[in-house]
Amino acid sequence: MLSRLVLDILKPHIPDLIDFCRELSAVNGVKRVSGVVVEVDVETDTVKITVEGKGINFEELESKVKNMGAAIHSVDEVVFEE
Amino acid sequence: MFNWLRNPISGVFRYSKAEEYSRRYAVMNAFDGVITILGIILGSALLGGADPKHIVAAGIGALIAMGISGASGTYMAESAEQERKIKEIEEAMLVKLEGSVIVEARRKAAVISALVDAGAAVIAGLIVLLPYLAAAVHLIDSWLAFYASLTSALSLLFVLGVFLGKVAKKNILISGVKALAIGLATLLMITLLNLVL
Repeated sequence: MLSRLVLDILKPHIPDLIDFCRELSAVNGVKRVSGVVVEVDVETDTVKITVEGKGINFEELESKVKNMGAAIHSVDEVVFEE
Repeated sequence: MFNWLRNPISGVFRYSKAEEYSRRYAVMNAFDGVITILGIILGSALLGGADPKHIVAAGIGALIAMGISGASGTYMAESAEQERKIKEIEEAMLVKLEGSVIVEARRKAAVISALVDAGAAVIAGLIVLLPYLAAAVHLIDSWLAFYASLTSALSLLFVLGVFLGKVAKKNILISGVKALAIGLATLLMITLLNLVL
């Protein structure tokens, strides 16, 4: 099952990183979320989000990201474990 | 007690940053409401006095008009601003934001601003008009209503000034006196008008 993901995300300044990570931590199977700002632009932030847990629901995570007005640019790391 | 209301509203404020605008509209239109009713009361009292029922009718008419014009004007102006901001973010993100919390919060923020705008004018105006409502149902006489309305209008202006001083983190007393001076200037101008007419 999916236990770790590292995502490259482009998001607007609002919601801020704290609200953004808090919302993602409510996704099914997620136990831990950490975020790092990579780049700040006029209207957007590029952030690297690491999501850890057990059986992370990726579809739900993706729709939550979209719901906050952000977009997953790339999935940089994936870990599945039994 | 009002958590059911506070939570969605704080969410709207968090995602739209509209708290500042709503605060501005609240103070601005409370000022409008107070000064308008003050004008009606002073005008009718100094130009010969009028039946409290007529003052109440004129006051409520003015407040309804202010409420409708405030709500509709603010809603149209705020939604245009919010839609422009949504488009700017969409252009930067290269994605459509329809259905996201950002769009939802920004659209709700326009409605909240409109309601605050209208509500502030109507509530502040009604507070000033309250003594005349009491006079209209013969609870107090019309001169007592006049002085009570005048006192409540000037006190309300002072309180609004104090609130603005608190927002600006400046001397609240000076800010309160400045707001009070606006009420006194209205009083002076209408008295002068009375002398001229």
